Amino acid sequence: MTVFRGPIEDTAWPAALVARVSDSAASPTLHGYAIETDLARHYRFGETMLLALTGVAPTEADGTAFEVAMIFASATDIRDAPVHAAALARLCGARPANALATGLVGLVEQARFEVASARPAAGGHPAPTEAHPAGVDATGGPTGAALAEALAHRAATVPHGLSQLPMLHAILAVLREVGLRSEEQLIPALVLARLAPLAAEASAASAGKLRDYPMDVPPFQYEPPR
Amino acid sequence: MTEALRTSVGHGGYGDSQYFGYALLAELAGRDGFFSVLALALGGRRLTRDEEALLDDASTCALSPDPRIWPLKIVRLVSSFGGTLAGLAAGVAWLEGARVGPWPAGDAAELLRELKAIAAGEESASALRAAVQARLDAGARFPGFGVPFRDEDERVVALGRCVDRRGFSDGAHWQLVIQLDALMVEVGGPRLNIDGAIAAVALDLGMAAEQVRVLTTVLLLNNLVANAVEGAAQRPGVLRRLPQDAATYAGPPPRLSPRAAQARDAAR
Repeated sequence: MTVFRGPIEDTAWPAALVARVSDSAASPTLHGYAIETDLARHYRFGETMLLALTGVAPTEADGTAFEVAMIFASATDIRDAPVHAAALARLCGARPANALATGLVGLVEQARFEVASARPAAGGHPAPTEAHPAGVDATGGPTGAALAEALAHRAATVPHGLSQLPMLHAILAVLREVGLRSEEQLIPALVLARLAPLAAEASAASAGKLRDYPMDVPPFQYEPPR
Repeated sequence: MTEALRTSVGHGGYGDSQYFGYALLAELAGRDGFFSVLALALGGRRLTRDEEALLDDASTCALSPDPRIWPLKIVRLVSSFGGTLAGLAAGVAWLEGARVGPWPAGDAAELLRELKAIAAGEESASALRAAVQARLDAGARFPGFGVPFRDEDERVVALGRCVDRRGFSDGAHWQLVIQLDALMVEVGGPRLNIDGAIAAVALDLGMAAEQVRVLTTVLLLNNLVANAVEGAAQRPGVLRRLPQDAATYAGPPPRLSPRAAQARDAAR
């Protein structure tokens, strides 16, 4: 048998991967907290996801604010490209898991776009209590008033000025308030919030019913290059 | 009423489709191959057969298919559950903007255009040397240059032979990378790699940096396809879940959450 040698064989490499967040050598842990005997008994699912993203066990107030913001962030429907794409994949006969994979890529792109679009114009992130990031203006869309009311109803802290912000900015302001500052934290939070509603809508699409799809929505117009 | 989205890509008609201003079957089929049609897809012009053959050569020279190489390991990990195209999609999804993989070929193209402008002036050789030395002194990145674990990129050598054989060695950007690589040897800088070589070839075909990024991704696709196909067929359990000793933990030590601690104290 021929033995092939190359740079990979002739270079020294580490012997193992390094985990820095989760471990399951004994019982599974998340940032050092035992999942089965600690988190599962004392923290809600949403709080555990917040802990995963921040590394900090959340307070009751932060956990509640996070969960309320996540419920607001879960609002998505088939007009949104990720849901549309997942449902269309299902319509094309995709297996449910593959349609979900398509939608998941779309959700990540949507969240990346939204977080980048909502970034304060001056750069960097606003202070957690600053609810009016620079560069935000009225869009004509819903504001964060309903979010402020829901937070108040759940006795959670309402960031100052939340009601005047466009809804997406208001959601992001709450997420920042509870410790999610970087895009590495905000993007997965938005994706997590929308994944189940997307999956449900995709599952509801009828596989193979291609004639039921509005081909020309929105309309396209072909114009050859000059 | 929603305004129509304008597209130059195509229109499906009866008996034929339009594609970037051409009747696909009547004008392109049988005349234009994969790479000419790809060049149109990138917003460029149709390619000659010789130009297509050069890109065909480049796609073979650029292969580096060892599944242990970082980007290809990603394909192997995801395809280990049996999905060929899921593995392929995972291998492509992260490439946009990444510092490893085909995307830096576009950065290399931008750098080459910048250096070509310098090399086009008076006393070009000394100006180019000064510009390179200044970048090296500043510790700036040299996209398209840098060959890890070996003295030179064997794929560049092979592509160079193809460029010569196909009669494209007089291309201004190809000449520039040859000049730059010789300069790097002289000053001990990073050597030309396959991204930089492909960028030079593509620039000589009239492509822009943004087009080079996608072109290079397509040129390297066979790396991903081969690993996705074999990976999905093998479905190796060892990749789906590595053995316990394949990872060590360096995160926070075991600790009690505040609520668990409170519950413990209350129970005492």
